[in-house]
Amino acid sequence: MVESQPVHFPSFIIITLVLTIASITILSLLTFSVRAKIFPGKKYVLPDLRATDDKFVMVFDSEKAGTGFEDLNRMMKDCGAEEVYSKEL
Amino acid sequence: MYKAEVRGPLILGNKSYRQITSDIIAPIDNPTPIWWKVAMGISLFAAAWGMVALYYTVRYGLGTWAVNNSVAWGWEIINFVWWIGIGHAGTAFSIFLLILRQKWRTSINRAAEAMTVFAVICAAIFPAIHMGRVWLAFYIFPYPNTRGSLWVNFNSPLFWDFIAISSYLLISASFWYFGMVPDFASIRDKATSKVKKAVYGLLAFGWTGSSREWLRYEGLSYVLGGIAAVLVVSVHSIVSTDFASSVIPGWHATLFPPYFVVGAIFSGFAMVMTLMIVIRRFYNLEQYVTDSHLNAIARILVFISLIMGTAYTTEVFIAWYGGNEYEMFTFFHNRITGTYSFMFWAMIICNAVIPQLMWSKKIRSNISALFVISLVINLGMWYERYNIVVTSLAKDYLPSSWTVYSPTWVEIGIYIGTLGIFVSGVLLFFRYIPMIAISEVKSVLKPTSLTKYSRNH
Repeated sequence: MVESQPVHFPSFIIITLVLTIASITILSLLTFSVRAKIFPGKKYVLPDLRATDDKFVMVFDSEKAGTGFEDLNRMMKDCGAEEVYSKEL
Repeated sequence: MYKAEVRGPLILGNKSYRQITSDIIAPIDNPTPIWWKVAMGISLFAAAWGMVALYYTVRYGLGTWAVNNSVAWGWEIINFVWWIGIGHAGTAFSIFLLILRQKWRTSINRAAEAMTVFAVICAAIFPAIHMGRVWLAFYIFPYPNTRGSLWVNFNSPLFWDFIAISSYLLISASFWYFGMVPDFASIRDKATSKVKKAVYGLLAFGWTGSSREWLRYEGLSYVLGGIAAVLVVSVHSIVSTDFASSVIPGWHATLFPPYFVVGAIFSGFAMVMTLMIVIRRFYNLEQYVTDSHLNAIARILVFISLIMGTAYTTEVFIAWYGGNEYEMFTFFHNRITGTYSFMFWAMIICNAVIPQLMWSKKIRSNISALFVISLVINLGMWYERYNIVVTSLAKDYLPSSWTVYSPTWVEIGIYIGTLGIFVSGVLLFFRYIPMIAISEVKSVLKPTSLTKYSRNH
């Protein structure tokens, strides 16, 4: 009498599912790290310390703004900006 | 037609964004309270006791345990399943409630995820040590080797456990950590001491809170949330198949996967409630973890308690309806009555009866009552696992193999050690990590005007 081999296939469904999830996790983390440029030891430029507290910060390059810099200042103030200032980053 | 307020305000006290940051960072900035030091001392002592017990286990072998030929799984597997169950709530809180857009999760998810990570670490100790020769634990990893090649048994749930729990620990820890990155940046930028700035700066991975970073961060949350949701169901289903795939009466039931998953979420949510009540009380965070939040958790616990009661009834009914004499013996003479009837009835009362008290709004509003009930639920869930593991093994098919199981000090010591590790981990979390998700709580603060919420306080 020839005995049938044990069926491994259903077990591999479970293993493959879980390993897929583990792989997606690792790849998502790596992708996030690369795309958002977030990684240990990264040198960061923070325009205003309060950006990570309670302020929403918009940064404009004054060189690119050129002669429109004054207009921009006025527009920001008119639209309710709390502070408008220049800073070297 | 009708507009009913389902939940109260999520944040009390008319907070501004700055106040939220200050309130939640306060435990990190303030000096260490005395109660924390005492609690840490006790938990480190318990962890040390566990280390001694672990040393005895590794040095002198599994003979120091009370497991025997019949009751081959005792306190270790009970505690393993218990801790894994507790660990499910973090993921359930963060991920299920994230996907279901439940804003009230924002005050609770950080602590729940921390609890998950420490609980899974405690759970992972048991599979490693219960195999006996812990220095050969790498045998469980499937790789071509010089032992034949000797491959693992891919058909065994014990191997699936290894894959599932490792993945679960990876995802839980990642989700927890990456969720904290913006909060570490907040602490970095408010820190006055250089050491604190350097440490939290390293942990913050250079986060600046730019729109691009937030966009990618939200994307990561939803991706991790989506896939980890599958794990919440699959991990404990796999653990349940450790039992369900056997032939032991009382174990070989198709009910086990959903029964275990629901039970895991039950014990996990109860532990979250315990932790949140402690956080509220000792860190004065009632305005963030409001009565409404605890009310919501209590309602979920009541609902799940009903499911657990149904599961217990189903098990007993099917044992009778199936007519299998061994199943009927296990349930009617070895659980409902018999040597282990105390554990069975303790399980029923703690899991299915006492949580029903939370139908009462008066009980749901009483924080002390909720605290006690949450502890009772976890006790009940421990009894459930005892009930499942020991009763079925102690008296299975062959009466000549029936035996008694009573744990040794080594087994009890390992359990106390895991409690010590868990509490130490949670205390370190309270002291050094923002225990409420600052950025997420800010996102549920509904501004009525920009100036009101950005004023300096």
